[in-house]
Amino acid sequence: MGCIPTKLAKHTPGYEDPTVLASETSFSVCEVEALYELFKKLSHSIFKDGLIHKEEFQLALFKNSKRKNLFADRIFDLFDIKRNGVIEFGEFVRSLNVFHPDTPTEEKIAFAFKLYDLRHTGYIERDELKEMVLALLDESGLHLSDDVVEVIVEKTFSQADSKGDGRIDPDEWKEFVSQNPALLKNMTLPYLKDMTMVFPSFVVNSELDEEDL
Amino acid sequence: MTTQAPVPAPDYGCGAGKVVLGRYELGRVLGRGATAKVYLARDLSSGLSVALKSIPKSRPQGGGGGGGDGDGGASPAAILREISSLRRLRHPHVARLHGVLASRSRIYLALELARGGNLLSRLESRGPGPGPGGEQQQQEELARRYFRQLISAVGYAHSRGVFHRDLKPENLLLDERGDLKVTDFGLSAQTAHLRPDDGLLHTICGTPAYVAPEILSKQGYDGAKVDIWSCGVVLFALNAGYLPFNHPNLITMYKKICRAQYRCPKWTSPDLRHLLSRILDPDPHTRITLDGIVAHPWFARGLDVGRWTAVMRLGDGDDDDDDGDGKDQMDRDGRALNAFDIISLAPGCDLSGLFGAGRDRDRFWTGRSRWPAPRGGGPAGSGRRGSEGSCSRGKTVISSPASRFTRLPPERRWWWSSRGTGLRTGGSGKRG
Repeated sequence: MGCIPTKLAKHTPGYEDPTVLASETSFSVCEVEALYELFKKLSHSIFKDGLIHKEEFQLALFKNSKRKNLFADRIFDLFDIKRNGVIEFGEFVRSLNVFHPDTPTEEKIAFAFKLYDLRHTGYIERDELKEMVLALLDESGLHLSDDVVEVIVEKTFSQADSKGDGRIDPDEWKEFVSQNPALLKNMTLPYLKDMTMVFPSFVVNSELDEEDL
Repeated sequence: MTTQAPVPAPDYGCGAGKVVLGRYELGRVLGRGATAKVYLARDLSSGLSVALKSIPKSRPQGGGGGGGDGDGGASPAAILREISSLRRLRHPHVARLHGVLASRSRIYLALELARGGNLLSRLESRGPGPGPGGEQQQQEELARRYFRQLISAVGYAHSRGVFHRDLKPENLLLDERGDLKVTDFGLSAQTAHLRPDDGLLHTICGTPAYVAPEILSKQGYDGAKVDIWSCGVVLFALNAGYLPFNHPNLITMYKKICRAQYRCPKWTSPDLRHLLSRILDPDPHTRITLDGIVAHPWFARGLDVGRWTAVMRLGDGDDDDDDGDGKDQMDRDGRALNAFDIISLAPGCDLSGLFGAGRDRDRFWTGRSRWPAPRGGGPAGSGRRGSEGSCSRGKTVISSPASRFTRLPPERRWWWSSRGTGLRTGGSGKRG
């Protein structure tokens, strides 16, 4: 590896060695370095403590730290693997890795399931699905009559709930997604693969030491 | 397979076998420029062979005011410009940028590898003359083929505001199928860098034999016109096997260029002579345009216009995704949307905001707005484009008056219209 960070000075709390994170994820060491630059920026936007708080997360996503959002809440909770209310660097990289194009589909399926299992019951239930549809429609400024929403939810359940017990379990979800692969589209950020090109400024300002050629 | 590229003077001396930044294993040196070095390299994660261009960063201290070339290095700002122009180009005849890496002192660009050497070595191996056996027609056909690929690449780049400014056979590579790949946009300037007063570029660059007269006379110049001139020189060389303007005395050479004094070999066809005279016109104002070239009888002979147009539109509105995303069978089938399809549109699930507080992302997404409305059916086709509703960062568009979602062609755009029953995706080209 030629990628050895030289500045050992003050890392954020919860900092982890990029080589370790790279070995566990689809990111290269340099990409983890680039993510660290991003992480430092996000985690200092409000509280300046090197941890991403929910307000900072909302600020980044919506340019508004107070904007509550069902889905952003869920994503934040899933990123917060230790469940201590903040996202640390290691959690950030490992969670973003789910969205990497090279990450196996199984991990994306599992992540999406957890995302939609609002109340952590191990099942996606009908009322959870309806709540999410309503939330999306609401934040989009669309108002459909309750009947229409019912029809959509009912129809989806008739397709996904193959066992017919009124809830979608992980196996049914896997089956349903394999028939509707487009559902996983939001679980992939294509540019995580080309991060060095899309965000060249993170890379170009690299302070990595490497013997000259 | 890594030893095939017919590049002269293999150089295993420095760096070979070394792994750069944990990602690229270096092979031999493919070429050297004034500041940059290009290595054959292998991406350890994908196994892909690339041409790795290594550019020293300029040191910020001293050096006369930020030109970036004082100590032979390039300023990160200049490199960022190069990257941003290259990123926007996705074309079969433009060498693609695969990635960017950097250390404290160097920046590495991983570029598409063209294994067929460059056009210059092809010309040199042939030498002047109409080729063995005097097969002039064949020679002219070959010139037409390369020239079309060149004009296709240059026209494509120009339409995206990227000029090359240093077109010459050394920058025109061939892939294993003998197709052209234009490389080295290192000197390219984007329209954004025009000086505001006259809209002309003012940096002197380029290789003497290929540079346009207006550069030599140190006037400001139009990047598009300059590239066209260089294409003309390349065309001449492709046909003749030697350069139109060449003289050991630079002053004499410059004079010839400024007067456009050149002599076509006698086998040159009248159509080609005419085209050359229109391109190698010393007055940039009367010089033929790219559209003029494409319409010229010599160029247009046997041209597959449909394919030409399709290539020129490549990548429109598709600035980020890799190729795979285009094949979304589901949408073309007009399948009914389910509740999860709707949820997956949620802006809260869209993490691109994490990456983009800055302008980087804005530029990144702007391509979206250029997507054409679906032809034929669909709400956009019925003139309801104005009813786009809430919009999350240009990605997901849902219009308000409702009862039908339609997805516009290259995904991430959705329409909500009042016709139809239930929720369906709309096929890109067909009437739902």
